Amino acid sequence: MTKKILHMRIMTLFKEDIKFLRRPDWIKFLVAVFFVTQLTLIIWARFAPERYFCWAPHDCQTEYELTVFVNGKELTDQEIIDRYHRPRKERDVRSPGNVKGWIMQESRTYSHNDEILVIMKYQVNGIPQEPWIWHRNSQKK
Amino acid sequence: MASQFTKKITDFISFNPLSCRSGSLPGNIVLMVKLMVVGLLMKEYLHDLSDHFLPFFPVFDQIGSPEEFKSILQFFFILGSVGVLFSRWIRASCLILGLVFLTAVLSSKFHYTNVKFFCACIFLLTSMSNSKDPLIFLRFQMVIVYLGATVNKIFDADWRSGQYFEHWMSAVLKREVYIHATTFFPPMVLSKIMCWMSIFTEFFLTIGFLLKPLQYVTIFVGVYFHSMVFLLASYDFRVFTIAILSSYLIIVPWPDVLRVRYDDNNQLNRLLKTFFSFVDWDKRIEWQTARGKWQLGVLEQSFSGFLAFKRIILYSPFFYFLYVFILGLPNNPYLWIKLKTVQIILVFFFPWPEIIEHLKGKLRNKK
Repeated sequence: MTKKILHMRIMTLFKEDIKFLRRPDWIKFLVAVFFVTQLTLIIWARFAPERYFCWAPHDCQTEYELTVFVNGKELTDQEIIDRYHRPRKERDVRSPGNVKGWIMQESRTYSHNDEILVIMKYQVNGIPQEPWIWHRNSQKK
Repeated sequence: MASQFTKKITDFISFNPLSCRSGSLPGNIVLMVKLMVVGLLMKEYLHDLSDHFLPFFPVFDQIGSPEEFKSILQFFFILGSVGVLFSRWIRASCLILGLVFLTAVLSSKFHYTNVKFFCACIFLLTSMSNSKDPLIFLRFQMVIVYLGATVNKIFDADWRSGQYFEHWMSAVLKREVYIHATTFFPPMVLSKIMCWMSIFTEFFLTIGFLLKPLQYVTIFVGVYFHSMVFLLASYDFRVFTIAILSSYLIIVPWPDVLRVRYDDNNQLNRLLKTFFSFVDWDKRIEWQTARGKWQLGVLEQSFSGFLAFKRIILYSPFFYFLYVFILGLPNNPYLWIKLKTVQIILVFFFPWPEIIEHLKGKLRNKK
């Protein structure tokens, strides 16, 4: 009985929506895939260091300072901007995983012939974290 | 037949960007996308469209030089914006804008922002909506946005403990008022309250967009929540405040006709009538003369006096454009104008009269 009442209530609440969704077409299929992808990415972001497409606007304040050595030479402030399009020291509203991801992807994609050592001192929401040290050998053969 | 033909021709050649009448989409959705385009243009997103740097898919690195790529996106952004603003092939224009923002987001992790992805989703789903079917795609998108925001916050230890808010307000924004207010509470308590209030509000908005009977409360809670964040931070997160506030139009029941009765012998009434007739670009208001207070009949409801006046404003696209224009102004030197406008709007539209009427009704029933 309770089940029936609940079913009736749901049917009344979503009458129009259910009527609309009962007529399947390719647009609805595409939109459904789009929504399922977004829901999956929301869950995925819980387990991944990088956070994209998970609807977390301004959910994190990352303050970081970079020290970068390329082929044994330390980069100047301007060289860091040229390479990463970011200043040496900055506050970002994204997860520290995003910043690390940019650095790693940059060296994999655009400067794979360089030997790179990055030291990132950072804090998340005002709490200092262990520095992140990342080293990558040159891919030159 | 002839008049219909003339009307069609007039409609076709009407290039008024403030008009929100369209055969293919409901008026509230046309208004929403137009407001978003105005916001994006005013916030200079044309220059902010990314070149392909650190893309999500390597294929973007192969598409021309970064400058060429950006120029292509800019061209389609202008094309889509013109189409939306002048109501020409509006759904196709939304599709173009949606694809532009989706491409901009996918082509650069570095330039990825939630607001660009939000605009992409809204434009894409608008292009897939129409005036006959319910706006289920757009409503579900809002459900996902708020669900994601709730899940992210609730699983974040810094949000649960209040650390995020404490740091943001005290160290990042340095809000004196907030720092002073924290002295009245034990350490971290106020920040914890603020964090949990945000979590619960966003969770309520998730449910609110799902359930139609909650639509009015959802609009009220959502608009006040985002406006309060703007006031507290004194920052509009670029186009985010405009875009998110505009998206509440999705659940606003939008009438085709507003029947207004006004007193022709009253000078103020005549003045207001002249003004509202001037800004009624879509000729939705039907004016009738009568004695006494203003009366508005809309969507099987009737309002009188101040309530009617407020509703007419709420159903007039002109005021939304004006509001977005003010919010779209640069923070420097117009921040104080923006903050004052938001404060005035929040006070003016707070439903005091409705609450008083409701309480009066309850008292009458008790008697």
